[in-house]
Amino acid sequence: MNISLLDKMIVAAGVCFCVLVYFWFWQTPSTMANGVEIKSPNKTQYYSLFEDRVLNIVGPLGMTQIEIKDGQARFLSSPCKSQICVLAGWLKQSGQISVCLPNAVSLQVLGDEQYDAINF
Amino acid sequence: MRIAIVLRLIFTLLFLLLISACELSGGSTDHVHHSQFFAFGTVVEVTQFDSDDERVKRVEDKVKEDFDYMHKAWHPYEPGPLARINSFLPLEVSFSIAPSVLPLIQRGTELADLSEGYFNPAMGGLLQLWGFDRSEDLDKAVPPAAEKIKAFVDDMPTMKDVALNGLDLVGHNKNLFLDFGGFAKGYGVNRAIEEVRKLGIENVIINAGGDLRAIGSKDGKPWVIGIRHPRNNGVIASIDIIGDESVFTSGDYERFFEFEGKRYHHILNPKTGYPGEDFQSVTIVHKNAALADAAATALFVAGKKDWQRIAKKMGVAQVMLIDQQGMVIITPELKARIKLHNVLPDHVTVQAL
Repeated sequence: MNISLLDKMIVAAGVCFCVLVYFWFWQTPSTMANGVEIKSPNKTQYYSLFEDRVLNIVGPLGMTQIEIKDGQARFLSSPCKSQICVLAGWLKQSGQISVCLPNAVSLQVLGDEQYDAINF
Repeated sequence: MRIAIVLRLIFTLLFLLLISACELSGGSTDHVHHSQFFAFGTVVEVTQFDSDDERVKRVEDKVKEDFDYMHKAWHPYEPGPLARINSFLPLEVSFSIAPSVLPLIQRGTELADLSEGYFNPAMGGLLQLWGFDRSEDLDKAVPPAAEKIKAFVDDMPTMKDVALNGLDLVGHNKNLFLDFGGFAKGYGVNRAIEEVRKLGIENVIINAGGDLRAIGSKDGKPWVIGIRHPRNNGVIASIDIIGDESVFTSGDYERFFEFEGKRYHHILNPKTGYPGEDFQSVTIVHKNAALADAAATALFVAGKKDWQRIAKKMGVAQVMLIDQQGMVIITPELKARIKLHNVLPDHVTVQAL
């Protein structure tokens, strides 16, 4: 039986598909969102998602406000024109990220993987 | 033809994967339920291993109800039985107290005694002097004047100033103000565990704002507890628990303000009136949550000079301390079972009690 290049490609694609399916089924994140990472040009800061606050983050365009409330976080206001970051709304799932490129501020929700509980 | 064979192969593989996925979703990990709610002035997380959704919900409701009750009964400032006691204490006259606060006072007195006063629930006034009772204004806080701290420490109220006779109480120090924040979480977690056990629950973790007690297991496998690094969001260590144990940490990152480049946190040393300086965090693993809670506070302020003696006296053997340089000091009892993550071996010192 001759195996052509097309066959090999199909097999490779099939294997890739199976690997993807494997990750979809097995690696569903069971992570608990518990904190946020806020990056700005000057520094990276970490905050708990369980302490309500409004943070003022300075970027090249001016002040970006990030609000943390009831276990979720969002861009409250931003000096950028597009306001994409503000329109993204609340982030609450571990791994979710929203970025304000013009003002160089990113907000990502962090979670704890593989642990049943976290002591701090 | 060849493509048909390959496709068949792919579908077979997919089918097998799907079958195992079904097994997995019906398997043990699916029975671990996490729920979080705000109670006791913090976030309480209940982790249960149970396949009965109704019972899971019942347990959540019960824990929330218990914590709400304890929050009201034991809050030092908000109107309730303990706040009432605090309003009478400076009058130095006899008054009767609510039975709900009695065990807290009794156990608090025992633990204060065991810790040689390093754990002192009678010094709520010192926390107020520093402004740690108003955590929402901490951004603007400044350290109190040195003379004021000295005056308070010179006349430091202790649990010995609380004279209890049945349900009658007299305070013997005008600075007395009871704040059980140093062990109420532990005491509350113990009570909540007792309550859920009455519902027949044997596999659960109750985590009150990072301090937790775990009982049972998840389908025979241990609960895996991560211990957060005091200076970043990562996990510095993890520990497996099976049966019944508590993990409590006191850290300088929980409530603090910075003034002129220096961090001032809420774990105050009753002997000096200032925040404990030697450690970033102290973690205790022990059977009893209330004792672990009080011991974490006491060892934090006891510092490098006294922590071993106080640990021995309080009966805690499994201790991990992170000092100001980020070095890990750990007892052999805890070192034998804990997994440290991303810690260089020469940053770890094993010290026996």
